[in-house]
Amino acid sequence: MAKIMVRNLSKQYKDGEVQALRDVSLECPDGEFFCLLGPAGAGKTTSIKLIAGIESPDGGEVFLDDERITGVDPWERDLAVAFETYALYPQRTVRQNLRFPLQAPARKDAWSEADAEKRVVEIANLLGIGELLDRYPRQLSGGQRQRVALGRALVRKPRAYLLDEPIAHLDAKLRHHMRGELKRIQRDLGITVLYCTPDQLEALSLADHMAVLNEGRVEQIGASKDVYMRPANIFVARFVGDPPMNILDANIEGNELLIPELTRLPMAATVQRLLARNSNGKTVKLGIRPKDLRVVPESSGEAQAKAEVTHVQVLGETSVLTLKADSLELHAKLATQDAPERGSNVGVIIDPAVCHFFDPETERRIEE
Amino acid sequence: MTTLTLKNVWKKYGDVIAVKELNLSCEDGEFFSLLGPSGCGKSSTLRMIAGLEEITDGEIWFDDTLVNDLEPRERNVAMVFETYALYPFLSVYENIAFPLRIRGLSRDGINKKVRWAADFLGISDILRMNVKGLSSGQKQSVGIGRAIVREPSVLLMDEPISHLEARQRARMREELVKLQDNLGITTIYVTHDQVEAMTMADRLAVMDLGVLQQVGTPKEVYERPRTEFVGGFIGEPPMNLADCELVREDGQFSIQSPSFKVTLPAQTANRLGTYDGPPQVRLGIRPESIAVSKSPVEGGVKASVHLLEPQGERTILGARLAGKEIFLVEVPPEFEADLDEGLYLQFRQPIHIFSTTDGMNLTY
Amino acid sequence: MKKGYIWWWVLPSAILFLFIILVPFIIAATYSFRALSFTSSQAQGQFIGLGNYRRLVFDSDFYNAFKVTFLYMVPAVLLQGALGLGMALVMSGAVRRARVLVPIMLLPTLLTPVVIGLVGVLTLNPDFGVLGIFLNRSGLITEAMLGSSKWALPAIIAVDTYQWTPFVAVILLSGLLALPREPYEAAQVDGANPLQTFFRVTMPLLWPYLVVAMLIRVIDAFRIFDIIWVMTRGGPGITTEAVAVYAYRHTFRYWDMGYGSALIMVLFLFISILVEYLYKALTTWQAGGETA
Repeated sequence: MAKIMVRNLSKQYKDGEVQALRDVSLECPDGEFFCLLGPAGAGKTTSIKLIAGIESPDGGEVFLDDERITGVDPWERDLAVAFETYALYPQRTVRQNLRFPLQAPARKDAWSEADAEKRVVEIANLLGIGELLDRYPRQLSGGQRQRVALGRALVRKPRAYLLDEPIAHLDAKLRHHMRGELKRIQRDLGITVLYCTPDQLEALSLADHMAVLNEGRVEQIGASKDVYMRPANIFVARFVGDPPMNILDANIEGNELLIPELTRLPMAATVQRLLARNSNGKTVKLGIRPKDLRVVPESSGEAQAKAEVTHVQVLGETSVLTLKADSLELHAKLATQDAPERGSNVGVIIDPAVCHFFDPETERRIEE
Repeated sequence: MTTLTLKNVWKKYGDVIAVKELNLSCEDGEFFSLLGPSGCGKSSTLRMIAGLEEITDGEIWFDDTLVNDLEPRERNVAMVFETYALYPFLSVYENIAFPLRIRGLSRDGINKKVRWAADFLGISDILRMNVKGLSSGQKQSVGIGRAIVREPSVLLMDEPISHLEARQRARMREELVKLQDNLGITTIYVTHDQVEAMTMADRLAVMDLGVLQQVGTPKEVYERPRTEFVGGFIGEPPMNLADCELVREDGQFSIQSPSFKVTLPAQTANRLGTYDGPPQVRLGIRPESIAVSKSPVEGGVKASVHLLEPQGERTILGARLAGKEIFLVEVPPEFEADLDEGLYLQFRQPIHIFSTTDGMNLTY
Repeated sequence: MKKGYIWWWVLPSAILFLFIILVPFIIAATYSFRALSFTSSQAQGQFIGLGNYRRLVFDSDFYNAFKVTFLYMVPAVLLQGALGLGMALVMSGAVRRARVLVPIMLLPTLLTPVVIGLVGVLTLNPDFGVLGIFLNRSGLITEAMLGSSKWALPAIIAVDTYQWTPFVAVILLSGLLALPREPYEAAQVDGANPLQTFFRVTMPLLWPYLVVAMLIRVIDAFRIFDIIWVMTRGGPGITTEAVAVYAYRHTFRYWDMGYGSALIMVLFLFISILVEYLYKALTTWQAGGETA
């Protein structure tokens, strides 16, 4: 197992029309589950291609265990890749597809027949495709094909695994199950995994560390928990966490925060100090997660502001409310049994202590 | 505004039964969802309502009119397709205008209606563009525009947002509900995504392998699943299901398996009262209904930590029971434990007991 | 990947291309600027610049040749387009079930024009040809078509159409089979009847295929030679003498290589312009070819 590091990677397509990666640097420590999280077009697949060697970067370097591998042919890098688009060999059976990486002609360290067969069966059973070994890809469903693609990557024992949305096309239940399996395998075997996904929930539940990408740039790198609890900027704050964090404009007036059309909030001394030292002193963007937005009956004395419930989404045990106050729209999350009716008016409480603050121009997090 | 009624509707493709004896009724102006995994018959049902598929047996009524033998265009339905099905060589305006042109409306009449639909959906600024260059979100809106411009009696939607990005999907869920509310058209919405059905529908029908499992409001379907299938399909993370035996001792019910022995609370026991079937049953309990403790508890179920999945505002614990089953438990985000560490689980209400013969919920 | 390998694979075809196509073409091009005639003692290959081309401009037979080519091409291509479309629509259902029907349909196209031309001659003969006898006895066309200045060109158009309609049909067929299903369902729900569906949905979707097929036929039509030569030799008189046939007359009858080459160069110019259009049509259509 190895650690993967990239420094100042940049890549463009179509003669500069598309800047897929801009000056991206990150490090995936040895034996860790590292996620590249970001929306479509963020540069995740491009990063995988550059690390694997399928394409060359325009700038920057790729390192495997401190050894520079930029420019080294893909098959010399000893990495395994699972593509989102499967890329299976259509004229070969599942067994042959899984076997190929172990016995490919370019491989200098080919496995013996017996070992290869054992490994293939082991991985196939792990992924629940053990009975499909003699079928052809065209006879399989999308979910089965995706598992074969994943299996083909897992079947080798390379220095690291690069997985590009490997379970995106499975149905919800199977996806959930596979997530658990992957995490478990990674932990048990201590393998280095670089995993791409646009699903923030997936990244949070799988990753030890993650990098949030957006339009070819790294927005934040850190432990999953940190990315969730202390998002570095508004993009990360709204991308990680569902429903997305509410972002409001606020004016700093003395020891109070004025949120136009909503309410005036008193600030605790700690918050005052934070803003006094690190903000522009006049305006700030305030972020509060839906679960932290407290909803109380309209008549309650605690309520700081009033809003109308325009939509109630029952997720199950919890529900998401869409609240409207004048032109502001907020989302709140609470237990379904406490959820008010649609069309009713409620009171809203915002506690600055649980709020996140961002600079209104740079959109970066304000902290000590 | 139309009520929709399906009476004993069957659909067979040769020997394959896609829809079995379906009985449904949708109220005027209702947002009704057909939910189920692929192959459950929901799309076949929608297409039979549209008139794109023959009805093998049974009747479909729009208000008091039997529509079985009516062509799609005679039924005054409109459909939004999963893959948009736009006319690729036409502009946005022409796509939306198409159904009106077919009916020979006047140029002014068409213009008025198309502009109304475009304004309603916020796509007035792209009316002149050819649909080839549009984003999937925009294409989706054009598809919807084309459907509503005729003010149909029934609006049919076949997984319309499944090809959008996660963010767009979340936004569209709200938009579509708002839209339907404003228009007041009876809407049938087909999806395999239970979150969509739960968050959008007034009522939903869960189907599996052509058979209707349950019809109810999102709350009803979540809190009181009629069958094991519904229990396991609705809710994320999914309900935990395990085989066990129902044992009656001293007037008390308990469920037993190699992994646990739990006395059922009175409320659950009462509902089971008259049950006289085989003792083999299935336990159904949701992740949020299980409490976790690191120290021994009375009546607790022994388990060990298989996996921890932090999800921001909560963490999902995969707990391995004595019989090797993995139960998913919802725990607070601060919860920490080592792999294979020992734990004690407590089952809280509601506890569901499903029959192994027909999957019905015995505590219903 | 070591990129050098590619050139070795291309070499055999490159050599073939060089000697069979490129070199003769360059030679012909040079001849067009020379006075070279094997039947004239004065024209011994001396360079005369645009002399042949100037002669061309004042040659009424040359304009006649172009006229004949157009008189043939326009009806032929339109007929092949319409009949090809009809054939494709009729066959689409059957072909989905039996792919083998496609090569069978294409048999006329697969045969050489010479063979088709000869078959045409025999068929149209008023005394023993299948069609000829019918036309003669029924009183529709009592003269020998290929000897009549009124009917010779139509006969050629008919035979050419017989050969090439399946070609157009097959191109349109591949288009029909590739058409997306969804717009049709949308049209059904929107309320279109079969005729409206054909004109408003099928035709626009099939249009790119039709354009490509017709363009290919137009380019081919400009070069027509075999069928005409076999059936009428360009006669009677010069009523069926298309440009290529006319050039042949000068080059291999009168042995005036210089003038013949000049005629061919002008034809080449025309065709190049058309090919430019075809290339553009093909590539832009492909790029924006996905459906909504």
